[in-house]
Parts: sequence; structure tokens; C-alpha cells
Amino acid sequence: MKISDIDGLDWQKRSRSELRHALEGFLLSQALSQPKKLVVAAPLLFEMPLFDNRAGQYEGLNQDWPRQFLGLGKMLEYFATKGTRVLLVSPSIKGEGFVRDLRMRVGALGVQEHLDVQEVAFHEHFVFLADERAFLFQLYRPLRLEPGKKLVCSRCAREARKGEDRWEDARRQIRTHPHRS
Amino acid sequence: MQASFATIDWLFDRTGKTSRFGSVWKDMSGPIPKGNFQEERLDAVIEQLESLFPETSNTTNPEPWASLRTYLEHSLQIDARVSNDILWEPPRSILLGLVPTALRRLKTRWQKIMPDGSEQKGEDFCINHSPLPDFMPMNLFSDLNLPEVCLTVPAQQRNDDETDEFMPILQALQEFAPGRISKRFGIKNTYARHWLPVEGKAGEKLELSRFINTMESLGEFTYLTDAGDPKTVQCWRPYAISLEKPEDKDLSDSTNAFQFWHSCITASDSVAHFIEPRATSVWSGLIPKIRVHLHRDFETTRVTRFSTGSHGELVRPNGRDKFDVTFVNDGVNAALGFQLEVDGLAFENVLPDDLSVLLEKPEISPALRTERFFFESKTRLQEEGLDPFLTERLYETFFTLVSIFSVRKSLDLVDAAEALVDDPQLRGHMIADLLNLQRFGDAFEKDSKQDSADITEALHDPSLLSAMLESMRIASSDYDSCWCKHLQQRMRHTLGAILLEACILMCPEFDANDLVLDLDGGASDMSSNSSQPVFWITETSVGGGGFVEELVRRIEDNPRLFWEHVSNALSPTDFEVASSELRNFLDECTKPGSLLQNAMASWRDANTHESLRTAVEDLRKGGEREGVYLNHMARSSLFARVLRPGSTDEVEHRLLEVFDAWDRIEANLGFELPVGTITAIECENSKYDVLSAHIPSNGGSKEERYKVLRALVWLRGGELRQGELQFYNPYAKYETQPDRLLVDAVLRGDDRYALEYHEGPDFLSKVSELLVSAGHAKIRVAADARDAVADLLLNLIETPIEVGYLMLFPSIGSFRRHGQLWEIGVVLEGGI
Repeated sequence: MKISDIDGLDWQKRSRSELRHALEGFLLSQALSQPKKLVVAAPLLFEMPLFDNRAGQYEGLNQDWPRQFLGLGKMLEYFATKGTRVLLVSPSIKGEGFVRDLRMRVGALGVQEHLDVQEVAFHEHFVFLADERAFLFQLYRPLRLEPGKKLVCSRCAREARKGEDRWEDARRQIRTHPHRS
Repeated sequence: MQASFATIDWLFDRTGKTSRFGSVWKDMSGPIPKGNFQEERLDAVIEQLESLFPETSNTTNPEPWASLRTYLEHSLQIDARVSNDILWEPPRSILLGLVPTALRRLKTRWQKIMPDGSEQKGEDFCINHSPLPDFMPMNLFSDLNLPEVCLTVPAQQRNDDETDEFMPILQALQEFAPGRISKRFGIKNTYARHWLPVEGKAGEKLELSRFINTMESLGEFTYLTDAGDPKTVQCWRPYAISLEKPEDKDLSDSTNAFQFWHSCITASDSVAHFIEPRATSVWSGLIPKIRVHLHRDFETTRVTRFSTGSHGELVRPNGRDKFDVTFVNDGVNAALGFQLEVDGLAFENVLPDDLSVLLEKPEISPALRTERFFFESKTRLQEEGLDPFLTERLYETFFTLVSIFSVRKSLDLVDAAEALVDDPQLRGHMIADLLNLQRFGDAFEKDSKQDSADITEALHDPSLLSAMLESMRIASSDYDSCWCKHLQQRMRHTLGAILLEACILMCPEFDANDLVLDLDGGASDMSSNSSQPVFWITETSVGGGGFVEELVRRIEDNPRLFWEHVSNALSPTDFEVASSELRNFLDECTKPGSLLQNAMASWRDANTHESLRTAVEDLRKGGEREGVYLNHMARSSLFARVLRPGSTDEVEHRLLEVFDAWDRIEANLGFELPVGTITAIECENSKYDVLSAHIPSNGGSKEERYKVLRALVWLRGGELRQGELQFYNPYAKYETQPDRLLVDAVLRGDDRYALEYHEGPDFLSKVSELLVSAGHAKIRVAADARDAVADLLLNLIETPIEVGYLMLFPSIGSFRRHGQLWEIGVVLEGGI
């Protein structure tokens, strides 16, 4: 697994927008790679504004995007519609509205089965796992990472894996449910 | 406005006991007869108004304005800061605007005082029952402080009286341009109509006193005549116009006329408030400075719009009489117009002196030559007095005829045009053939038998033919000073349209019609000391409606967003993307064994909904894999044109052949061909019969092929681009067409901040160097190198750059696609 090491400085002095821009860059690169799976694990999920598309700056990627700030939900919707399996890992209460809206939008596009929400107690770490790449930060402060370290964050990765296993179980149960004809 | 009403209440409160009769409302609405018993109260009102300026009055109360302020705060429920703004701040402040105006009118009893101190006959601006109309509108739903004109409308039917109607001055002057018949006030019966009468001759003079009852001089203004000579006229602002009924019953209601508008925009060249793009911005070369003229800064823009006459046609059952009228006052040339003090922006612009590079670029040169031919033909044909609608059809038909002949005989366009002009018999055959095709193929042409007859007649007129032949020679010529002037005009037009669009997008909640773009300052440019030409973007309402003020605030708050909007206007539109991607799609889906070919075959073989859905999904995925981006418009067009029910794989092959032929012919001729021209050329080839094989038809005729090709082949190039970047200025007519590629080509030539991507360890260091020196960089990467771009983006955001004592991380500011290239804008926030 390649770790996106955006560390090396005292991050407490870095600005909020710098972190947002780093996340933008990561998501943009993954949008081009089109990973099979994207795991987002976070203590709370909300429509955080990411891409400033008011002047159509990101139309090269998707011309159908509206000319406004694009939030995380819009980006996840993009991944889901391109065939990426999106897995959200977050305490359900915090992310309820966000997930409901996202599910509605993605559901309308007919790919709702790619989305699942697990109730996992996360308190600090935001983790974006896209196939073999990881991007993580702690609220508004990215984690200090050691280059070459294989495990991104043992707890995050463990919970993400758990969530994925539960998702697979749920799908299996739905497929084999006696009322499903 | 509410404060103006409250001020009248305050005046009544202070003077109400003086007289039991009348009211301050009536005092402010207009002059009262001399000797009237209300004079006593009027003097009291004047005294109160004067007391607001202690140094000029004999009052013992030092600060009555403090009383007014307290009254406003209580009555309007506002705090001291707001009341202070209302009292003192422009536009239309109470103490610096309303009170002096009211005082002047009351003291002079509505007499007009000219700048030289003499009294002018007539009354100052007043409207019955509407006090201070320039501060309070007559109705709550009327526009605030719009300059209006009183129109005296003759009785519409027997036993009626004439009426007074009020109308905004621009609307009034356009609606009742001399020679234009209007039924706007014909509401009581169908025959009631009004106009300002003309005789219907060329070079007619119309005395202002014949139809204007009240007017005021705005001063002398200079404008350029059609011949390019400066001419000075006295300009008058009309307040009351008398309309008449047309006496000639034969005159049709469609008798129309238009004003000859001119503008003069004046403001200080050296304002303290201006906006400059960063020195390292690509825009700094073209737009070095934006001058800000705001009431807030006491730096307003004075806009004078005036008309020197009108031109039009008197329509009668037996024909049309063209006329043009010039306004005169006491036998001397004059103009009618109005003047506004508004907020505005002046965009200083510097255009390149040498634009020869544009004619060398294969992606834009053919479009420039075709457009030059159209422009020159239009100018020349209209000089010959041809109707504008006929003009456009005439030069397009001529161009198509010449193109067809040129392809048939392998001649260049000038030789083909000369041959056609010299051979009337050949020309006659070809005209009949082409018009027949168009009649059959274009549904909208079916009712135009008269037009076809007119076109045929015009195409045999030696002077018109010679004008178009000369236009063709000019369009085919090498770059020279005339080309430079023409390209600069088009570039200025494009640049102005781009800037206007960016301004509108910066404040999307405002009404775009509140801004007017002038590509020059009119007469003011002749007297200006500034060497820089400017575009003017001004507001339409007196004092400004807040649009420009908010716009300036937003630009200063986020300049990058503004310049991103400007840059984005240079990007291909949805139509252009759809057009180019459909062409790419054709290229890919005709390759044997390609993903797209298989997906197309699956789509055509699909016999269930599920298989159809899978095939569509395969098409989308295949497109993405092959680097073809199908947006919504492209997908719709694909299913409407290529994957129509009953179509076979022959369709994509034949369509691709049309586009290949289109490319080949354009490359040979050096001109861009409109879609109507290429279909007229290609319909002669019977191989396109397969396109209509599944349609019940006459079978294999040229007309049938033309009709099918017109339905299947989509627009491209200049025809598509010209639909964008259009703007409307009611006071100016710009004949050139904007084209975003003109500016794009010039900016792309500026490679100082652009890097072509290549693999290797030194690339990132090159980007870093550029970011350190300029603060931004553009990286161009081939659109099919998705993985390389993904890695590049990650490397960029992960690699800090040392700028002085700071370590900064770059961010991805934009991600645009230009054809088969991605252009990634990288920004170093906090850098230079």
C-alpha cells in the first residue's frame, strides 16, 4: 500500500484550505485512476465543501457538474456512478443526513448497491482508502506518517476491513433471503 | 426612497402650522401660481430647507439637520450609522442630493437656470402629483429614478381627449423613433396607432420643435460619422414629446424605424481605485488595469446616449420607401438623448500589434477566412442597400456555390468565384440546382419562394456579384494591415464579451440586463488623454443599482475566481465538446474489433431491456477507456443520429467519410465550410444512399441524400463557437463576430507559464521552479494518459515547495480538457 505522505512539517500551523486542497488533489487523482473500491472512514461525515467549481474549473473531469462548490457527497456520487464501490464507515448519527442525501442521489442513478454505511465508533481519524492508496488526516491536522510504513492506521484499516466484511455478509444475506424472488 | 418620503413628512411637521391649505407634497410636485395664499407656507419650507445648511442661512438653530436625522431614525427605525449614510452618502443622499434640488426648484419656482446664469424658458423637471420625481418614482412598482419622458398621445377615438403617458426615455425614443408606427397606446380600438411623422425620403431633416414640447440642453458632443469623420452636435434631453396619428391610411403597421445611436462615456482617467491582475497572470498582458468608477469613491461615470436621427422603411401595399432622418434644431444639426451618472468599470486593454500568427494556425485560420468573407460581403452588400435578411442568405448561397464549383473543378475559391461570375449560364444552372436542394432539404425554407426569386435575381446583379468577388479576394489574401485591423476588432469584441460574462457570473443573483458593455467610450475617446483603449461596463440605472459595487467587492475578495471565470469563457462549450467527442467516437467505433464497435453491435442486436441497458453501459465504459468523453449532449446526439432505430454499422462508416471529406476539402481550400455547404457538396455522391436505406423515400435522389445528410451531420467549428459570447447593447451595433479561439490562440502562444508533461524526475522540479517564480503553472498532458496524470497529481500535492522561509504545498486549481489534452492548473497559494 502506498501511503500519501503529505507530512514533514509542523501541520498545526498549516491552514485549513491547504488540507482541503490536499484532499482535492487526492480525490482528483483517484477519480482518474477509477479505483474498484473507495473506503471513507471518518468520525463524522458531512457535505464538506471541496472543489470550487464556480468557474467550471473542474469541468475537464465531469462537464455535468454544477457551477458551485462541490462537496464530498458529489465526489462520492461521481465515484459510485463510475463503478467504484464506495464504502462509508462512520457513526451513523453524525452522518445520517449526508448519507441519506447521497443514497438518494446515487439511488436515482441505480447504483445504490455500491453504497453501504456501517456504525463504527471513529473519533479522530479521517481515512480515504482507494485500492492501494491511502490518504488520512486527523480532523484538520494530517497525521505524521513515517515514509515506508506499511500500515496506515491499524485501527482504521481494521475497522474498514470489518465494515467491508459486514457489507459482504449483508449482501449475501439479501441474496439468499427467502422472501427475495 | 423611503427617506425622501420621510423628509417631506419632516418638512410638514416643521411647517404645517403656517397654512391650513395645500401640502408640502403639492409644493414639491410643481410650481404653484404666483400670489397664491400658499406662498406663505412655501417660504417656510424654503426657510426650513436652508436651515439645514447653517453657514448659508440666518437661522439661529445651528443643527436642524440633527433634527432631521433623529426624525429619520425614528420614522424608519434605523440606527445612526444608516441614517448618516442616507443623509450624506451617494447616490442620491438627502442633504447633498434631495435638499439642494428641492431648494433650487422652490426658490426659482421651477425656472431653469443655464450654466451661463441665464434663465431658460420652460419649467424644471416636474410631474403632476409626483414630488421630486428624480428621487421618488411615481408608483411603487416603477423603476427608481429612471429618466422618463411624458408622451402626449392624441385621442384614440371620437370624443376622447389626448392623454399624457410616461415612459422610460430609452424605451420612448426607440418605440417612437421618427417613422416608426406604434400601437403601444392603441388600446381602445384596433385602428389607433401613433408615430412621429416623416416624409419617407433619404436625407430628410426633422425639426425638434415639431414634436418636442420641453427639452433641456445636455451640451455639445462629438461622434464619428459612417465615413469616420468627427462631427459635433448639440444634444437635447426631451421631457415632453407630442405624438401624432399617421394620416396616410395606406401605411402598414409594420412600418419601422431605428435610431442612429451614439454614446459618450466620460470619467477621470486617473482614478485612485483600480484592480490589476497579478503581473504573472496570463491576462496581465491583455488587460493590464481595470479602473473602478463608483459613487462610493466619488468617481462616477457619466454616460450620454444620444441619437442623431433615424432610418427605416415606410411600408405600403405597393412597395417600401426607405428613408433616413436627421434631427435639426433651428436648422442646425442636433441630437436627442439623455445623460446618466452611473457606476462603471473601465477595462484598459492592449491588443497585440502583430496577429499574423493567427492566420498560420490551422485550427483557426480557415474559420477566420470564412468569417472575413462573410463580414466583408455583409458590409459591401448593405452599402448597396440590400435588405439585411436577404444579405445574409445571399452571401451564404454565393459561398456554397463557389465551394461546390471549386471542389468540382479543383480550383481555389477565388478562381472558382471569378469563373462563376464570368459565366452567367453556368451560374444560372448552379443557382437553380442549389435552391432546389435547399427547398427540398430544409423544412424551414419551404415558404420562401419569394426569397428564392430574390436570391436568384441578386445573384445576377453585376454590382452585388462584384462586391462578393472582392470580398472573396480579401478573405483569401495574405496577412496585411487590413487583416490586422479586422482581427483586432474581432479580438476586442471577443475580449469584451468574455469580460462581461465573467462579471455576470461573479454576481449571478443580479440581473444581467443591468449591465451594458461598450467596446469603446464613443466621443470621449477622441478627447481622452489616455493612450489605452478601454471597454466600458456600466450600469443602466442612475446612481447605480449596486451591481458594480458588489462586483468590485467580490473581485477584490477573490480575484482568482474572477480570472478563472474569464479563463473559463475560453473553454469549449457543451456543443463544441459534444461535436468533437462525437467525431472521436466515430473514429474509435469504426476501428475493427474495438470496444466501441462491439458495444455498438451489442446495442443493435439487443432485444431485451436488460441487454440494451448493458450495451449502453458498455458504450459508456468503452468510451472512457478509449478517451472519448460523452457528455449528456453528445449521448443524446449519438442516439439521435448514429444509433437511430433501424440504423446499421454503415451509418458510422459513411458519417466518418463525410467528416473526413470535410477535413480534406477545408484543408485544400483554406476556408471553413458551414454544414449546409459540405452537405450540398457531398450529396452528389451516391454512396450515401445507404444512410436513408431504412427510411421510406423517393430513393437515391440527390435531394434525398441532401435531406438525410442535413439531418445526420452536426455543426462544428466557427458555426458552433459564434453562438456563444453574444451580448446586446441597445446603443451600439458591432458587426464583427466574437470567437473565443482568437483570444485562446494568443494566450496559448504565451507559454511562459505552461509545461508539457513528460516522464522523468526533472519534471516536478521544473514545475516547482515555475511555481516559485510565478505562483501558478499550467501542465498539459495527453487525455489518454490517465494513470500518469493520477500519479502526477499525487506527487504534486505531496511535494512541498520552499518559497523563501516557507514550505508550501501546491494545489490543483483547475482541471480542464482542451480536445485531447488535459490542462491542469497548479497554484501555490501564498506564493508570489
